[in-house]
Amino acid sequence: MDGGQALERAETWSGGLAARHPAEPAPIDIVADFDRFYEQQYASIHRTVRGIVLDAAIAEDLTQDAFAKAYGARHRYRPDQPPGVWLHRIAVNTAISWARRGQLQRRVLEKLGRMSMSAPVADPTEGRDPELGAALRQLNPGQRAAVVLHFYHGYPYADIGRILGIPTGTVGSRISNAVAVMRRQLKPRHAE
Amino acid sequence: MRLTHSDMEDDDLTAGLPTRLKAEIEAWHGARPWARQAAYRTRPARRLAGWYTGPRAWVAGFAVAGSLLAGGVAAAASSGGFTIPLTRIHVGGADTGDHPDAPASPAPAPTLRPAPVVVARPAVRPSPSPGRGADSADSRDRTGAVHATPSPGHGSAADGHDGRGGHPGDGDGHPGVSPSGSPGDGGGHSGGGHGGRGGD
Repeated sequence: MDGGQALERAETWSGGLAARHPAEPAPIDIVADFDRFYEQQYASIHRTVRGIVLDAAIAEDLTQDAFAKAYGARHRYRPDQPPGVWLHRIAVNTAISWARRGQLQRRVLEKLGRMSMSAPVADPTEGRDPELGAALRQLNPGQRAAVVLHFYHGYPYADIGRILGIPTGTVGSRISNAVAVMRRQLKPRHAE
Repeated sequence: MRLTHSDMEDDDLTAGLPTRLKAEIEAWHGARPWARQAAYRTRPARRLAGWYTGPRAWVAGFAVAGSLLAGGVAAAASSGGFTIPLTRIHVGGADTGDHPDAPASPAPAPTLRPAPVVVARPAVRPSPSPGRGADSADSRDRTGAVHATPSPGHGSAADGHDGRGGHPGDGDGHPGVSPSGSPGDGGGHSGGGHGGRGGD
């Protein structure tokens, strides 16, 4: 499939999903015009990654990592899915891998009793809704990814399943579980 | 049935949560401008350049230098240690010769000049001036005899002056001994000592 056909398929995806996919605002040939693709997708990818790792600075680094990976693999992109979904898959996998490594490290440090030695870094974007932030921290990285992709980006379950590499039905149960956990976290405060 | 965004907003159980989530996530911007300026293209190159020019490069450089130094010390220690060539040190152009405490070097350094011939001088008496015999008139014994023991004359070969003998003693009784003067060094003739005067 040449570049023209790929762009045509991408336009088809984008046209059909534009109303549901804020991440697919306009068709872009990512092989020929990756710079514009980067400008178009940066904020969306950053927010997704930020929702998974819950750290603005690390999210910026991981977003750059995701774009670097995507740029290196742009010739392997197949337009059977929107480029935003393809890019989100790369970014979410990068972020979840980092978050899981971080969770493992935190558990080891907790076992060693050294958590008090490292002060948390202040996040300039944190604090708008600290209750919600605390609720998101109760979720595991996979649940946070599903919540952000669905409630912010508006991706359907099928696309979320494609991004996360899980069946569509699993997406529904994952989001349902995540909402239940967040509700339990938020309810006691609202009950006061 | 697919659960859509609007469905979730209308759900009593999650009332307000999607709106709060959307507002919260919408507020998440990249806080550091350099992160946006750092293009995906240059990121791998910057990482590579950072390794070669950043502080990690210095740390790596010191580590390599330290390991090389440690390796050199270990190799020298295993082969018997260092030998500092003290005998080959020249300070200010002076030839210091072999250090007395240094081990004998198997072969002289090619830059060394030949060691000078050192002539041992008499260490007991103070040496008289060249070309002149010592005046030993004061060396008399209790008997009054004068043992004139003139020092060797030191007439130089260049000017050929004779050495002068000792003056006669002023003894009272025994005749003095007139020793002969030692030959002058370097061709000078020594003067003979005069005899002591007889006693009354």
